[in-house]
This record gives sequence, C-alpha cells and structure tokens, in this order.
Amino acid sequence: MHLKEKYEQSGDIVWRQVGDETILVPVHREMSDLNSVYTLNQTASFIWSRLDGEHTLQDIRDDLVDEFEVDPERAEQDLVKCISQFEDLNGIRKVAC
Amino acid sequence: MHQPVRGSQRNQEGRLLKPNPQSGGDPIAVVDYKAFSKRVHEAVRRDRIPVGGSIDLTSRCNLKCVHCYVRDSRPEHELTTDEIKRILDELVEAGCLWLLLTGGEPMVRRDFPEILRYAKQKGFIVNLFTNATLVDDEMADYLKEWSPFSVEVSIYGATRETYEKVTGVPGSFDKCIAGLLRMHDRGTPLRLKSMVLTVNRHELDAMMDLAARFDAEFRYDANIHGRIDGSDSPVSYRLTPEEILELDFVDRRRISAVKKYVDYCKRFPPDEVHAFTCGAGIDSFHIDSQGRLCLCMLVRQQSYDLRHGHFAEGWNGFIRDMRYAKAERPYTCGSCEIRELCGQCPGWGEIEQGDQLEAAEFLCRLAHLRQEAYEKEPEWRETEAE
Repeated sequence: MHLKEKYEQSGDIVWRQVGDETILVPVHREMSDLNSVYTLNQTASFIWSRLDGEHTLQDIRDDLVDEFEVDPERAEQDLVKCISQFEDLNGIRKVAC
Repeated sequence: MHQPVRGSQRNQEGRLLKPNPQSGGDPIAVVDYKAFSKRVHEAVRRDRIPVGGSIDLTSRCNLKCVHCYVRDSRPEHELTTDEIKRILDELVEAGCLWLLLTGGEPMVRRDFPEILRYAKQKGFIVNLFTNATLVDDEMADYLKEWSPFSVEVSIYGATRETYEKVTGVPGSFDKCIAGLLRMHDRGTPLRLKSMVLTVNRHELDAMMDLAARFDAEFRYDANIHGRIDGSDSPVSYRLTPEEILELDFVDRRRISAVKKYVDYCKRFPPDEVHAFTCGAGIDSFHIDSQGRLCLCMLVRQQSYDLRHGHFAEGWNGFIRDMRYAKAERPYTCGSCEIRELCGQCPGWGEIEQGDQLEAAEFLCRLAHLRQEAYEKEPEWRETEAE
C-alpha cells in the first residue's frame, strides 16, 4: 500500500450512525446469514468519511494527526489496518491515478 | 518529560485534539447481531430516537383475506415513489435503522423494486412482509440482488382448500408455494408466519411442517382484531381464549415465546398516568400508505401528515405529545398485576371497545387463563429463571 494511493467508497456498504453506534450496512449481502454487524470506532469513521477518491492516504494520515492525539507513524499503522479491513468488506476500491 | 494528558493536546491551530480511540484494537469490530440490536434499542430509548419503523407501501392487496385488518374501504391516495423516497431520506436523518416494508401487499406497487433498492442504498436494515404470490422469477432474482434482512411470508393454510378459504382468491395457494420455492432456491432469508383462525387452526402443525420445508422459522398469532376502518368482520374468525390456550399446549414453545413477550413488556412498567406505555413513539413508529405518521400500526386515528411536514417535526412534536399524553381518566389496566401478559394497549382498546382507555375483554380473558395455566409449567419457570 502506497501513501500516494486514493480510494473511494464502492457503494456496496453504507455508513450509518444510530445513537452512539456507527455501523456499516452491506447493501447486497445478506446480513442475516452473518449474524453479525460491523461497528466502527471514531478513527475508522473519520477515515471512511475521507475515502472519496480525492484524498490520498497521505492526506488522510495527516488529517488523522491533525484531529487525534496520535503521531504520524501510529496514524499510518491505523490507516493501513483500516483500509485493509474496508477492502476485505468490499467497501472501497482503489482509484486509478 | 511528562506524557501529555489524554485529550489535552492541541494541533497547530490550537484546536484540542481528540483522544485516539484506536489503541491497537481493530478499527472495525464484528459484533453479534442480537447483542448489537439489544444494545442499540436500550441506548436509543434514553434519547427517544426512532430507530425502528414500518411503512405501508400500499393498502391494496391481490388477496382478500377474511381476517385482514388493513383492508380499507375508504378511498385513498397512496404515496408516490418520490414521496416515499423523500420520507426515507428523512428517516435516515432521524436515525432510523430498521425499516419494515409492509402493506397491503407491497409488490402490487409497480415501483416496489425501486423502493426496495432505494431503502437498501440508504443503509436501512430492511424487513419485508409479503404473501409471496407475486414473486415471479424476475422478482426473486431482484430480491436476491437487493436482499432484505428477512422476508416474512404470511401463509393461511397448508392445503389449497384451507388457504384459499382465507384468501378468497382461487389459485393463490399455488402462487404462494411457487413464490416461496423461487426465493428459497435463491437463498433468500425466509420466515413464515400465520394468523391462526377458526378456519385454519386444524392445519397449524402442517403449516409448521411447510415452513420447515423452506428452512424457515415459523411463528403464529391468534390475536385477531377488527379492521382499522371500523369493521369487526375479522373477529368472527377469531378463536376463543380457551382455544388459544389449548394451542399453547400443543406447541409448548409457545409458552416460552409468550414469556419472552412478557419480559419485553416489563421494560415498560405499568403506568396509571399515561395512556401509552410501550415502545411506540419512543423508539418506533408507523407510516400508513397515505403518508400519515402514526404511533403504531394499530393506533391510526390520530396522525401527522408527512405530505405536508417533515418526519422530524412530526416525531418531535405530534408523536411525542401523543406518546406522553396523560390519560383523561385512570386507565383500566394501569394497576393490573398481569398486564404484561396480555398486550393490552390503547390501540386494542380503541379497536375492540371503541375507547383507548378500556380493556379489550378478549385479551383480558386470555391473559388470566394463561396466568393460571402457565404457573406450573417448566417452560414458564425456566425462562423466568434466565
């Protein structure tokens, strides 16, 4: 994964906030056979909102450092982990540069 | 050098930074669905968020069931596609997550596929009530692609003769079975349910077997009430409280199911001050086919017109005021010790007795019979101990 890369939301999962909970709802997949729900923490929600095909991963990392009490190295680790999980859920796709 | 206190650091512009919640854990956690649902419902009740609601996409139906309470002889102007989409947008804004698409038969609307897709794309967890008779191959493919969380199919008997005695439409049984097969073949998550009536009670076991054929959970209800347009014709098909109690002991899982319902009702303690004491208007709502926002499916006499107002205005004004309205006189059931056992509510009072504050005698009798009969039963005591 390179920090110059850009990602955008695929439209296959939808971000929803209900009360204090933030979740991802699959659009096509049946939730019933999974018996589980994906909940996001604040960092993941923050990252999700910036996956618009415009921000590079580097932009998002810098935004994390600017928003949360986290150093750049740690922010990058969090970001990479997050992107990997979003990809596993088919929630995002890479944008050609 | 001192470590900065969490939540005390600032960025270059001097804005206070948020503590990083990541702390090495997974940014996306996978949690058990039931636990999540329970947690959300408990939390949102505090803040009165309409997390779950239902919408009648139409009151029209291709069947003419003898017990149907929605069938409405009054003229109606049902919501247009654009009006429904606008309402769904407003529901998302208000925090609604669970959305039940019901009717009438939702699939009689030509734009049903478009509405389902829109609801899914907005991130609702969609449940669908249907009679399955209009599920052809094209619809079954669509339901696979835009799969609801669950599709609950009403069945009215396990044989053609009984089923069509209820629906009044020749050929409807075969269409229902064909629709069920199409959905089952495509892996659509099915649940089956039935209203048990005088004319189909003898096929209750066979209906359970039918559900098993489709790998579907089955549930039934015998609490028939009059129609929302004031007709009491469905009541003539209702079993007596004694007959319903008899059924409880045929399928003893029913006793545990009733106990779970009682436990649910206990979340809303008896109240002699307010007319309504359930979750309606606290975390749930209903919208009829003409865009009238109601407290629940039963209480439709008073409503807020979503054609001329925003959902949030109706929820935070009319519905809130109605939910917390004080009863004009002491509620008959307010101090009853077994109130949770009967499901008595102003909706039933209105439909059965014509008075929201009167007890529906049918429910009252059934609750007292159950109280007496259940006490000695292991299913009742076991679930109580949980």
